[in-house]
Amino acid sequence: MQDNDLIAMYFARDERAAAESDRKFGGYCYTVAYNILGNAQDAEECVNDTLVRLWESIPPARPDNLYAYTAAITRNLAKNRLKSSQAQRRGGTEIPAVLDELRDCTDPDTVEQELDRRALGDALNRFLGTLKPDHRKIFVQRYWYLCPVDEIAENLELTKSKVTVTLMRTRKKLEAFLKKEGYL
Amino acid sequence: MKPETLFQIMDEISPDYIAEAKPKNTRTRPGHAPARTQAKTAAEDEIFEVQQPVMQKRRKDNIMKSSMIQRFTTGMVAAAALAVFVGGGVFIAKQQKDKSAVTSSTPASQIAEQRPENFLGGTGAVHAMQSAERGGLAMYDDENFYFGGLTVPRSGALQENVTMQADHLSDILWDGDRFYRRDGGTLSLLDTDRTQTPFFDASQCNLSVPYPTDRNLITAIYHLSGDNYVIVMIPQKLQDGQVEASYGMAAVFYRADTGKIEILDDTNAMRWETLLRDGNGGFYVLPANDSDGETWVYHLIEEEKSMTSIYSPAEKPITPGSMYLTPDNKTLYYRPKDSDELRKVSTSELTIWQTGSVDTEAVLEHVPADGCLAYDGTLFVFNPERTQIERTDLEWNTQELLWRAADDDNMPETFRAAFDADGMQMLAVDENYLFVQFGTDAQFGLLDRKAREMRYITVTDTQEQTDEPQNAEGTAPPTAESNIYGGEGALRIVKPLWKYGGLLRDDRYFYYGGMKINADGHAEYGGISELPTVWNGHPVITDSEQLYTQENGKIWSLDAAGNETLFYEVPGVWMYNGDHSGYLEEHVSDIEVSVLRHIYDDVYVIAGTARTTDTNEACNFAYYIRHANFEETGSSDDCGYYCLPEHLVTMQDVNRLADLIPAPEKKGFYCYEATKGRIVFVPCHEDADWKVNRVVSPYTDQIHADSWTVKDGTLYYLNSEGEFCKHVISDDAIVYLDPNTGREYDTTDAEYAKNAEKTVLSVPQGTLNALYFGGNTVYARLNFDTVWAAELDEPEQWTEVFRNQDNNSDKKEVAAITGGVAANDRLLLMAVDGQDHQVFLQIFPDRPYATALTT
Repeated sequence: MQDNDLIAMYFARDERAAAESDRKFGGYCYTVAYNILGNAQDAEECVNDTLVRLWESIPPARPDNLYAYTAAITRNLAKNRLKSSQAQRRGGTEIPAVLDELRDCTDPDTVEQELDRRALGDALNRFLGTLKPDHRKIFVQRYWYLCPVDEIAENLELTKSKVTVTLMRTRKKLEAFLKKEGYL
Repeated sequence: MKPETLFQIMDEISPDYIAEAKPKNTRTRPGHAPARTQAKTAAEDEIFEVQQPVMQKRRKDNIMKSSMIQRFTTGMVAAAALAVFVGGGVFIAKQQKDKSAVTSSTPASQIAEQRPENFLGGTGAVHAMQSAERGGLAMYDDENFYFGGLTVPRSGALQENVTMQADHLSDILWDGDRFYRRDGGTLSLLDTDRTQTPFFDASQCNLSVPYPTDRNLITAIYHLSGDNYVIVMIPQKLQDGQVEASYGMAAVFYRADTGKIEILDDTNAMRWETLLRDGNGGFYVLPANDSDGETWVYHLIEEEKSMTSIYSPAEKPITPGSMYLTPDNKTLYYRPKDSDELRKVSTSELTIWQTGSVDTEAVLEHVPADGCLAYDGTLFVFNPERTQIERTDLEWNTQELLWRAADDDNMPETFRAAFDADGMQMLAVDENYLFVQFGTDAQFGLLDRKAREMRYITVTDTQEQTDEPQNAEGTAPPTAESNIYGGEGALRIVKPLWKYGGLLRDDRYFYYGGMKINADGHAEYGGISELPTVWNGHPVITDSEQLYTQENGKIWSLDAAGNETLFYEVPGVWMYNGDHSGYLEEHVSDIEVSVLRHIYDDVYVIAGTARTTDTNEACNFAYYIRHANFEETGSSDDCGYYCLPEHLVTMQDVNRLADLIPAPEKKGFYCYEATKGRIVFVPCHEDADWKVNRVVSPYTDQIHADSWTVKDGTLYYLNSEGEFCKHVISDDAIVYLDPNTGREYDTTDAEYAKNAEKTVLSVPQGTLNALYFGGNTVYARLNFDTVWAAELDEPEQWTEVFRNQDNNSDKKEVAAITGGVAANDRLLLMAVDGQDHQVFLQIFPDRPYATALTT
């Protein structure tokens, strides 16, 4: 089923839309949630919440990219759940490792200044636009999907060391870019 | 900006990029998440399809000696895992799709299907392979292949290195049709979705053991037919939870529908661990004591139990583990003891078979003693040299070559070298795979029968086995990754020094000058003096970030597990003409790459030596390469390469290039020009003129070859006058050189640079012998017996961190310091003591006098 057809089902309040969304996106949403929460039950509940949120938000929303829209909902829900639940204590989440890696391209000791989130987001997307597609996929899978390195390697059929090295180099590039843009 | 802020900004990544990076593989969702499951029981969801099993045995006396197998199957626990192999068949558990998923009124509760995680931690139905005697329980699901402590993805590279975990599968038993979880003396049926149903309790068996026992450890279960089972156990006496004594092997007949238990044998009389089912409710089993070697028995279990004993011909006693049945169960093949003949007998004759009364006929071909495994009426056999695998019917009428080592280009040399007289064993087979073990207990092969492609599995580390098996339901626990030097974690290059092969470290050790040094700062005696400089027959080299191997122009990246991935192939060598025009010579051989350094992005410096094939003339080469897309294209045609200035290509300076300092932001590097004692900057980008490079050190100073660094645009160095100097590198303060003539270009900038100023920094009183730079720390060695440390931010605030003779941890005198290298957090000095023994000193800038000495 095409995304447009699925969105049309939501607009028609056809309850099969949820089941179809789950079939089409459930596995990806579960992956996103699990990588953040590190817990199967929490991740599964997050997928459920995503389906409810989709049902509530479409209409009026008519996302251009339904997959990205759905995955973003899951990511936000999972992050919120992580803050409020015990999931963080249970371990398994990729977030501590990701934050540690991002120290490479930030300045942890700096006094945080008010940042224009949208402008910084635009800058980040400009930076991503300069990367080769394969390097961009690695970066986004790691820092947006929070996929472990070995899963990225499997997804993209690369060696773990290749992924690790590419991530390290991309972080260095990002650091230089952020400095040039005046964010560091 | 803090990492958390940047992490939050990731939310702003464009949907297009998110969709672009959509993972190919997703995690498996659990099958029984409370909020999503419909009201169905696991039992209702399961459909078991049982294929006609074919059973066989195999004598594998020598494989029992295999330490790997012994690790898989340690002690009594092992016997349980072993005993189930003899049964045959394929287990398939299918999840029934929930057809009513869309009928609920709440959208979020509408479930299209479940994606269960099975009891192995993977997904999909679990298949058990037909195993050789003592071959171990080999299984696979949709994702992985499992054997003992091995877990290998079903799809992946043809050569893989895997880490051996503790055997968490040793409590999983297979009756030929279904799986069980064994907990000492009890068995529970184990469904794919991990659901357990109590099945059997061995404490109910009143065995006639002449000693007091604490439990009957279940070691095997065989499904005969309907509700009829044979269950094998070992009576044991325990002491503080540990096995103090075991008393033979016993077997009972169990009817699951009535719970009736009948003892078949409690005198350790039979080889119950290698029972062969006939598929009609009966089985074959040989006597445990084969001193007479002539008898074997056939127990036929019918609706009402009855047993008939039959006897093999006295002149042809049967070798244990060498019985195979045809799928139609009408002919039994076996190998007589002390023979490699494969013989057969019709099972219709068995009931009337009497000792010596049946003359079996010999099959024409001879079978390697233990190089044979049967599945579904087919024999898989090695050739006598064990270098190829064939498939044949039991009558040996047709043979089919499945795999031959000589034809397999993917076969690693280490595997090829492992062939010897006992170098290959068959462990398990089914309709999809044949699983073999090569010459060492760390080398396995998984032959895809359809693709006829062998995947080579190297076990790079074996986690220590524990006496108590882990939870059979759990997935394999993660372990620290062991690297090729025997340390832990990935190897990182701290400094790629050509003189001592560089300073490397992992999570536990530093590696320097052929020594392994405990990174926790405490002395470790007896360090390893011979670290491998060759891996898989290829010399190891390093760039500024990781390890590589090289051979005749090919460069492979080397990961911590020892995997080699082709990185670059030198297409030719740039030769210099007398007029410096140069040309690319592609007819070269014996290419030895001695230098590989990462400069920025995909740009590397590469240098080494070669010989021309026409004139056998030795030549040096040095150029930088753009490595982009090599892996994607598999060709070096896309890799641009550019020569470095000629005066850096002398033999000495080829090596010296390993000590260059990359300047990624300037798309070039700094290096030492030995003939002039100065620092030059070499640009490496498409627009750079490789014949023009720049001097960035003050024109009047001669710089010490090993005592300089560039940090944040400032050059710090020791000059020939023994001064510690710094010089801010300005893009204006440079001298452009023509590398062909060595002459400065006549520019006003050159005049400016000649007058560039340096700053002489103060050092403690004494003669400055050497400077070592590590991160932001500079170490100054004075008068050959003290070391002082300072931060480059405040280079004149010195702290004494070492004084010879009375400050190193073992009060040993250091007679002479022979070399040194600084890491971010310490200085490593190579030295010799008063007895002329080599010692290493670890000196810490933040812990004065906390020096550790390593010998």
